[in-house]
Order: sequence, then C-alpha cells, then structure tokens
Amino acid sequence: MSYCVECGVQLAQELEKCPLCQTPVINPNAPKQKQAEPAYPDQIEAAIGQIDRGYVRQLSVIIMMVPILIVLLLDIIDGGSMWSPYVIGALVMLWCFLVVPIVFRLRRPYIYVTLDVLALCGYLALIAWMSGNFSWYSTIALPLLVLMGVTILLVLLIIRRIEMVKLHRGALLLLLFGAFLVALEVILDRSIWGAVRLSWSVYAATPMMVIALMAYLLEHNKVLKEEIRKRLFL
Amino acid sequence: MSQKQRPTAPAWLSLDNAAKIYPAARTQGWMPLFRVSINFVEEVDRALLQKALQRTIKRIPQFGYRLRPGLFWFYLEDQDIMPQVEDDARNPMLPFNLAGSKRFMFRLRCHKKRVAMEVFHVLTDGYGATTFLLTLSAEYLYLKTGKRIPAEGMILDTREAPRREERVDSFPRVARELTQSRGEQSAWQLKGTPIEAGFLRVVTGIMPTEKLLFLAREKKTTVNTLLAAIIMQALMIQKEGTKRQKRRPVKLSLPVNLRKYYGSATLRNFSFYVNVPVQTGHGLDGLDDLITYISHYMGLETMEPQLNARFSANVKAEQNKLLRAAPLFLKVLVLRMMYRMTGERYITSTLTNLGNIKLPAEMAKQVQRMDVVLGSAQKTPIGAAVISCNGHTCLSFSKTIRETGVERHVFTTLIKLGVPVKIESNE
Repeated sequence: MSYCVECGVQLAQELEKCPLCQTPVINPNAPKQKQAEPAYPDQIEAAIGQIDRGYVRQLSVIIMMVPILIVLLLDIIDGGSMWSPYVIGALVMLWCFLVVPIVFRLRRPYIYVTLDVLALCGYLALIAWMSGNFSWYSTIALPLLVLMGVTILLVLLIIRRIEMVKLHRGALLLLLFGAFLVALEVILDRSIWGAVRLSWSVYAATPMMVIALMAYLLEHNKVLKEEIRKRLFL
Repeated sequence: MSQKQRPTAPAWLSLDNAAKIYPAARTQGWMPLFRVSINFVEEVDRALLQKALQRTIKRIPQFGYRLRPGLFWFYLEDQDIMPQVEDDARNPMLPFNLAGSKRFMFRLRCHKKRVAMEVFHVLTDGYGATTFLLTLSAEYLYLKTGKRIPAEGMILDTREAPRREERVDSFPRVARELTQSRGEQSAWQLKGTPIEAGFLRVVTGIMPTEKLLFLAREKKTTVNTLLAAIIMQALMIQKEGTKRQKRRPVKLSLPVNLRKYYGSATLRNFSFYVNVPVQTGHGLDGLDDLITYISHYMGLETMEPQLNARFSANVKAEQNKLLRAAPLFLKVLVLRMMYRMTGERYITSTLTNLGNIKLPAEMAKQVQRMDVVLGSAQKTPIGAAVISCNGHTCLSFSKTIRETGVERHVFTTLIKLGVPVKIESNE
C-alpha cells in the first residue's frame, strides 16, 4: 500500500507514479509488485472511422477517369478533333488542387503550394501548345506564376518557420511584398514594352520599405517602443 | 452469433425526446458515451457472462436494437443477433462503429473481476444502463452459484416478459404546454494540453461511503452537493489562473433523474439537468458558501414545475410541425448546429451521480464496488461521475487534457476533510 507524498492519496498497487501530480512512487518497504492486478488491461484499442486514404486516392482517380475516357471517346467519334486535352488537363489540375490535400498526409504546405503552381504552369503550357502560341506563356504567364509561387512560399516560411519577434516578422513581410510589387512591374513592363521602366511599383514599395525599417528600428529602441505602447494602450 | 427469440419486443422504436439530438450531434471521432461497471469479488467467467447477457437482452430487448436512419427521424430497429462480450481496453469509450448491420449501441466488456458496459446515450441514461447491468450481474451470479438473486431495487427478473412501460418515451407524457426558454449564459470553458486522440484519461478516487456521508452530514448537506461544491471550487481555481472569458461564470451541469418525479419505469432516457452557475471574483469561493449556494440553487431548479417547464420546451420543439416534416438530412444539419451552438456551450463540466446502489444481501457478498465514467465531450475537456455501492463511493474524472488541477484539488480537499481516497487510473 503506497501513498503519494504530495497529494496524500492512496495509490493502486500497479501505479508507478501518482496520476494527480506525477510524483514517482518510491516505497523501499513495499516495492512495486509485478503480480499486482492492474485496474485496466494493457491492450489499447484502435479508433475506428479513420479515413482510408488509399481507398479515397484510388476512388478519386477512378472518378476522374470517367470524364477523361468520355471526352477521349468523343474526340475519336468526332473524327480526330483535339479538344479533350483541355478537359483532361483541367481535371488533372483540379485533382492536384482538391484531392492532394485531402488524401495525402502533407504536414507542411510547401509541397502542396509547389505542386499547385506546377499544375497551373503545366495546364497553361498545354493551352499554349494546343493554341500554337508560346509567346504569352513564356513572357507573362510563366514568370507571373513563378513569382506568385515563390512569394507564397516565402510568406509561409516567414510565418511558420523563422522564429523572430513580431515587429521583425512584419518588417520582413512588408519588404517581401514591396519586392513582389517591383518584380511584378518588371515582368509586366518586359512583356508589354519590351523594356523595364519602373514607376508605380517604386511608389508603392518605398513606403513599405520605410515602414519595415521603422518597425525594425523600433524593436531595437525599447524606450520608444514603451512610449508608443503607453500612448496607444486600450 | 446465436438467434434470439423475443416475440414481445416491437420491431422498431422511435427515439425518445432526449435521444433525438445525439445521432445528429455525433461525428466521426466522437459520440456521447458513458460507462457503468461492476467489480465482482472473483474473476468473471466469460462464458457464463455471455449466457447472462443473452437472458438479460430478452428481458430488456431494446438494448439489442440498432440505430437506423428513416426519412424523417432516426429510429431503433430490432435485429436477430446477440451482442458478444468483448475484452476491456486501456483506452475505454472509443466511438462505436454504427455503420452497417450487426451493430449495437452498447458494448459489454470484461477484464478480470470487472464487467463494464459502455453505452451510446441514444439508448438510455445512467439509470437505464445501471438497471441493465445489475440485472445482468444478478443473472450471472445465478448462473454461477445456482442461487437466484431476488429481483428487488433496480434488479429485474429475467424470467418475466419485457414490459411496455420500460420502453416508452416518458417526456411527451408528462410535458406541459407552458415552457421556459432554453437560453442561458455561456459558460467559462476549461482549456488544457490535449492528450493523444483516441484516448480518454480516467482517474478514479475510491472512498468509503460512510466517511463521505459523515462529512456531508457534518456540513449539513448531501454527498452530491458536497462533491459538486468541491468540483465547482476546483474549476473556479482553474479559471482564476487564466485571463480568458473572465465575464463568463463557471457552470457545473448536474443531471437529474426524472423518474422519481413522475413514477416512470422507463429504461430509455428520462433525465434532465440543472446547470449551476457561479461567477468568480464575487467572493463566493469558500466551500461552505458554495455548499449553501448550490444547495439553494438546486432546491429551486429541481422543483417539478421548474424542471417540467424546461424539458417541455424540448418536447414542444420536437412536436413542431415544420421540424417534423423536414427530411432527416436537414434535421441533422439543424440539430448538429444547435448542439454546437448550445449543447456544451452552457457548461464548464458535468457531475453525474447515479446515487447509492442498494444490492440484495445475496449479491452484495459477491460484489466489490461499482464505477461510472463519462465519455469525452465535444468541448468540455473534463467530466465527473460518481456512484456508491457496497460501502464504496467511486468518483471518476474522465479527461482529454493533461493538466490534473481539478481532480487533484477535489481529492486532496476530501483527504483534508478526513475522507481517505484511493486512486486508480488508466494512465
């Protein structure tokens, strides 16, 4: 018979520590009896009702195959016209968007975002190839998609991974957004004018950089930070 | 699985008023469950227990029914199979798989000297489950010893035919026209570090009933109010340690058995609840003050007209023609939303008391004690349940968080007040 030295409760024979305070049971006069009858068996039951992800994966592929086969068949019946790749490409892209996050255990969103950007790039490349015109794809569509994908990945990285104080994190996000705007104008200028003429993005990015710098400096100036906190407290 | 013959059982039953929300509220990983268990003096003979189960199901046939969806409501359907005794597990009360046929809404589990019954609340409440378990235990002991246990108290005679009044929905029979709003102030919610999914942490404190009764008498109150006051105090201490939801009161839900008010013999759900609110920071924190407060609050709220006005609102809502005519999938959506918005929002925790179970002398010799454990809730991470039997009172906390502040306060307070506590756990 052992008692918890912290709580004063008597403990069931099989307990090695007090369930109330986690204090280990140390009683040299009555060592834990191995033959003690535990209140609960060791067997742990598996929870039912978990989603069978493999089954959902297979089912989603089978469901997707139905319209794919139908449009391919229609293409053949239609005398070899080629419109089915548009539908097939869109379905594959939708599968990447909707099914992948549900049926694959992606603990981090980076792979998911990368896959979505790649799927979108692939589908637009397919449209460019089908229409026989790659110029719009290489000059504007692909650079914009890559820019957006990289920006989203960096935002996720800053929010999720990089450990820093809130003001520094905000400053970094502002700098990133400013850089995104400048890069956006570069891509647009190159595709429309064939040359880079930075204008609006600089006006938008400059205040962001100034605010980011202020936030960065503010974090280092404790007196000023406290003064602002004092004035603005709710 | 053997065939069973029970010609007196109806082919199907509609759900009782309290049960109607449970099939809708349940999710893939959660359903409202509770567990009542009995510990014998000797190890349980599983074959005899299985035989006793078959006889008990014939006496109380609705326990063998399964849940089925209709066009407008869920219903209970008879099935020609018998449940089987299962092994107990360290992680009790996982949700049942109700999909498909051959599914029951209770599990009978066996481990060494203990027989435990885990019940989906759709089937019955604590009183109904205890009646089933005691009848089963009496039949088991008869099969084991050859001496019949007299059918008295909550024990039914398995030689008798099922009685209609044991399977009726008593709510609409006693409900009145005048109702009271079900709206309440939201309760402060306890938060903590969640334990792993699929596990319910159970901590049981076993106390001598005599000492607890002596303490309750000393405090001029009942055991139920005394324990409610100590748990309330423990929850209030937890709230004082946080800054969240400061304006919300701590609310302890105390279920009330309605059978004693209306003389009902039903073994379906027929209980209601009183949510006792206490606001912290008002100076009401001493144990004696809390006992006085809870005692008076319960005195008022458990008056028959007051209880009737509250549960009659549920009956009236069920009888609403528009709601009745809505197809089941719409009802499920509405009821699920209602449960999420109101169900556990109004409570911080629950204390269920199944009372002091009196056993016939022939049975008492062969029984150590009884236990009751609440299943996990959707929002509230801790629940408490108490039952007294054969001189032992078992207070079980079931939790989905790691922190142990509440139960530690409760058990150490009882020790300080002179009640020795022995602890068991499934950790």
